[in-house]
This record gives sequence, C-alpha cells and structure tokens, in this order.
Amino acid sequence: MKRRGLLLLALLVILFASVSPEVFAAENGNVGGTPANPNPSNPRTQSIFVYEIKPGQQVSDGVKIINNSDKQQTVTVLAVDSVLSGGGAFACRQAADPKKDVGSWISLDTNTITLDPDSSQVIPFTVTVPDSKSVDVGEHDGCITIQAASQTAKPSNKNGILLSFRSAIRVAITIPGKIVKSLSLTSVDVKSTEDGKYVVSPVALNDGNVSLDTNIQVAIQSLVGSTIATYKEGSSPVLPHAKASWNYEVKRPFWGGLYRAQVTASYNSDTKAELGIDTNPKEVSVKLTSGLFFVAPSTVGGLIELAVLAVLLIIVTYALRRYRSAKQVKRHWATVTVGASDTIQSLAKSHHISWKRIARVNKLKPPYHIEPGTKLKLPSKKS
Amino acid sequence: MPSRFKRLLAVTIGLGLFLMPAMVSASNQPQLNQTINAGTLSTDIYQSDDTTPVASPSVAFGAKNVGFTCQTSTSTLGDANNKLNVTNLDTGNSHSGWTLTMAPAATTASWTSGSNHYDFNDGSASCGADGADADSYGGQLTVNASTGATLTQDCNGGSCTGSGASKGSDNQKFVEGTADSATLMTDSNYTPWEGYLTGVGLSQTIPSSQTNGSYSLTMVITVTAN
Repeated sequence: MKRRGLLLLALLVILFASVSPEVFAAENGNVGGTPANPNPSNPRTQSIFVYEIKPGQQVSDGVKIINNSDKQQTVTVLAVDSVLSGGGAFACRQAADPKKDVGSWISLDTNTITLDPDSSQVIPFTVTVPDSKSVDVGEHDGCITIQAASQTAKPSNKNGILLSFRSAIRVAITIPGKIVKSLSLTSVDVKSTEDGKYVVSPVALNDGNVSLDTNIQVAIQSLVGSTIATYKEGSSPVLPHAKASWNYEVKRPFWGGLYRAQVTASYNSDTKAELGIDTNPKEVSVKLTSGLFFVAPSTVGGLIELAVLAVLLIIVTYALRRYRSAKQVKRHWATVTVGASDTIQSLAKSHHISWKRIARVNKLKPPYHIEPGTKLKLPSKKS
Repeated sequence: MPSRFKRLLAVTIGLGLFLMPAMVSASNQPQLNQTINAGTLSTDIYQSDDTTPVASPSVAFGAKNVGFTCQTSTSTLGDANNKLNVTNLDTGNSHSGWTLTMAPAATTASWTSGSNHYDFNDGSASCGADGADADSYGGQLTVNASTGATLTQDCNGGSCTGSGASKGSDNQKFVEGTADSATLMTDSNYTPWEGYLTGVGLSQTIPSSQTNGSYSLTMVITVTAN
C-alpha cells in the first residue's frame, strides 16, 4: 500500500507538470466598436474611419461590434451626422435628428444585432458619396453609433433627466479637390478658478476645408519673458470651418506676480497628407500671447515675500535716516573745541540733543570720555 | 521496501521535478489559450464601487412652485454613487482621442409632463421666454462642466498611460441649431485611460406660469473616438 501511495504521488507530480494551466479571457469594458478593416499604412484607421472618396463613388467596409460584458447584449448600430459640441469638440448627432451629410451616405447591412458575452461581430456597410453637384470638396464628418439596449433610457414618470449612453466612431470622408489647410489663433482667455488655479483658454479657427489635428502648447511667461511652466496635451482635431477651444488648468506660480500665456498651435499643412498620416509633415506653428494677468502668490510664497518686504523696508528706513542725519550734520553742525569742564552729558544738555547722537556722529567709543581740546561736531545751541 | 523499487521511485520523482518547468514551457507555449478581447471605448454611469452600472440612471431637479416669473432650477450630474465613467481600453490601437458629450435625444425634444412642455434649447435672451426656434416653448438648459466638476483618473492597476482627460467648459447653453451638444470631457492623448466625472452643474430656466407637473427629458451621453 505504501509503495502504491508513493507511486501515485510520483504520477501526480508528473501529471501536474504536464497539464497546461487554463487562462481565462480577460474582460475589458462594456459594449463598443472599432473599424473592422484598418488601413495598415494609416494607424489612425484602427480607431476611426478615414476615407478619400470621389463624388459618385462607393466604398465598402465594416464595423466590428464588441461585447466585452458578461451578459448577452442587443446592440443598435446607426449612422448619423456629426455636430460641433461645446468648445468645438467633435460629437455625433442623435438618431432622431435628420441626416443631411455623412449620416445619409452610410448604409449598414443591419442596425440591430445580439451579441453573446465576450463576442464580436462585423457589420458590413457601404459609403456612397453623392455626385459632385451636391457635395463640396473637403472633409465631411459623420459617426457610426453603438448603443446597447441596456444603456437606453426607458420611458419613466421620473422627474428630471433620464440618461442613455452610447459610444461612437468618427467617419471622416474627404472629397478630393482643392484642399485648404489654414488655422489661426483668435483669442487667449485667462480666468482664475475657485481652487486657486488658473484656466488658460485659447481659441483656434480652422478656416480650411479639412480638419486639422492640432497640437496646442501653453507657456506661462514671466514679465521679463522667461518661461516658468509649459502645458501641452496630445493632438485634437479642429473641424473645418469651425472654432475650437481648450482649457488648460495652470498651477498658481509659487511667487505670484504678473504673467502672460503664450499659446502655440501646430499642425501639418501638407495638403496631400491624409488624416492620421504624419510622414514628412510640413509643420506650421501659429502663436498668440495673452495680456498680462496678475497671479496671487501661494500662502508660503506670500509670507516669504512679506518678510522680505519688511526687511527691505527696515533697511531703507534706516539708510534714509542715516542720510538725513548726515545731511543735517553737514549743514547745521559746527566744530567745537571741548573745554576743561565739558563732558559728553554736559555738551548734550547745552546743545539740546542726546549724548548718544554726539557719540555716534563723532564716532566716540565707550566710556565716552573726552579730553579737553578735542574737536567735536555739535549743533548750534539755537538749533 | 526493496532498494530497486526505491531507486525507480526516486528516478521517477526526480524526472518529474526536473521535467516540470520544461514541460510547462514546452507544452504551454503552443497551447496557450489566453484570450484578450479587443478593448473598447465605452461610457456608463457606475455606482460607488466603480463597476456596477446604475440601473435607469436619472438626474433629478429640485421641485419648484408655479410662479409668475421665470425660475431657475439646478441639479448636479454625477456624484459618489453616480460616477460618469469613461473607459478607453483600446490598448492595441489607441490612435485617436475621444470626447464625452451630452445632448438630448433630439434637437426638437422638450421637457415633457403629459401634454405640457417647456424647452431646453431656446436661445431667447429673456429668461424662460419663447425665442425664434421652431417650437413655441421657452426655457434653456446650461451645462457647467468645469467649475465644481471633479475629474478622477481611476485606472485599476495602472492601465492608464496618458496624462489624463480634460473637463469641458462652463456656461454651455443649448440653443437649437447652433449649440446642440455640450462637452463634458475630452482626451487628446491617444492613450488608454479610465476615470470618471462628478459634479457637473446643470441649470434650467423654467418659463413663468408653467403648468405644474413632473417633467422629464431624455439625454444621451456619447463617447466618440475622433
């Protein structure tokens, strides 16, 4: 029995070593989607749809709908137009809104699918651009929206706002022709916030006919022009014929003072470059500087500044008094020869000043004994 | 125990232990069965545990009495038990930024209580008055996504690699045809990110002498890869 037991143990060791451990599927997020057939030469197409289509032509593609939840999901997939959101951000119109542009050019094979947990499905679609008479050269944007039934607000007698949630993928279609890329900064606004920070808000205008992936950098400069802090984020699109604004939270400079915000906007001006491709970029930068704005110092910085100011005030006051005293001595004091019965106290009394001042002006050292015949500077007895 | 058997047993156990790492290595690599589903960009509203979606989420506004003058009712979107979450786990292909926006289910929608309505996107300069838009209702909704709002990066083990998202602006007023969407968050870092927004201020003007009732409006929150 003992031998069998040991043999069994040995077999178990071998068995344990030879069995591969099962690794379970990792779950990421909820319901969403990605382009099904990204263009290998344009990495941007892994996240959004980018096409160049001539008027009257058609392109076929697909959107991969992914259910990463642990529940079966019924998903509605729709094509809609884009809309500018607050601050010029990219957004998608609602399913109920009329479709006038890209939303009406996209035809999905189906608008509703049911996905098992941790599964995905590709929905094919076609994009048909109208003929040249009804479509302008340049970029047109729309969206493919993905909404799970579980995230759709149900009719309710609740008071207030009922919330639905969806995700969307931008569809950027460029109609070839005379492409114009032009961007300018129109204003830089600076406001203080309740929590002691400052918000720098540059506004850019894209007066071209394609969107521009724009990098914004905000440099906080002191009165003498030295940069004390720089803020920048990634690249965000400024849509054609539209304004966009950004909000950069700026930490309060430690010492406070007067500052300017210099904003630099950079974009690729190469009219042949497709959205998302930055090979051989012709980067153009435009700059705009805000007016001077005052920033209160931090608490510690303010206390240090007050202490330094107090010390400076004391030094200046002392120096000023010394200067005035020296001036008075020079103008109104005369040289007097000390008599046999004179002491510093008697001279101070007779000349109506303190003996300390006589000692200070004449640089007398303790014990302030003065020999008869010594010459001292003293004010006239009248003064 | 016979020594021959002891030797055999020792060799078997030794062989097993010796081969264990090699067998794991050799056998597992071709048979590795891990599935990493493609990450997606998604949004939802979660309870305080950051994982459980809020069922039928809504934002209640304080009750107002019927008044002879225009009134303003306020509320807050997002709090500790209603976290407006964005997950961008597009780890393999994060090649775009994203925006989180909020808009009513239709630009022609209105606050509704039975057959009574007032507007959310009337741009009239006079509080609560009906302006030039297609409907005959007054009222306007304003979104304040900056002051008072808190944006929290919450990456559950460090999957965030970007510097983070940014809050939208204050004073975003809905105006039919010109301001049909409000921006709550943006991220232009092209990197995986997860976090949530709370404390977004909402302010709605209510026309004078509005009929009493329990009014509601459906709004859609959209996260868009752009």
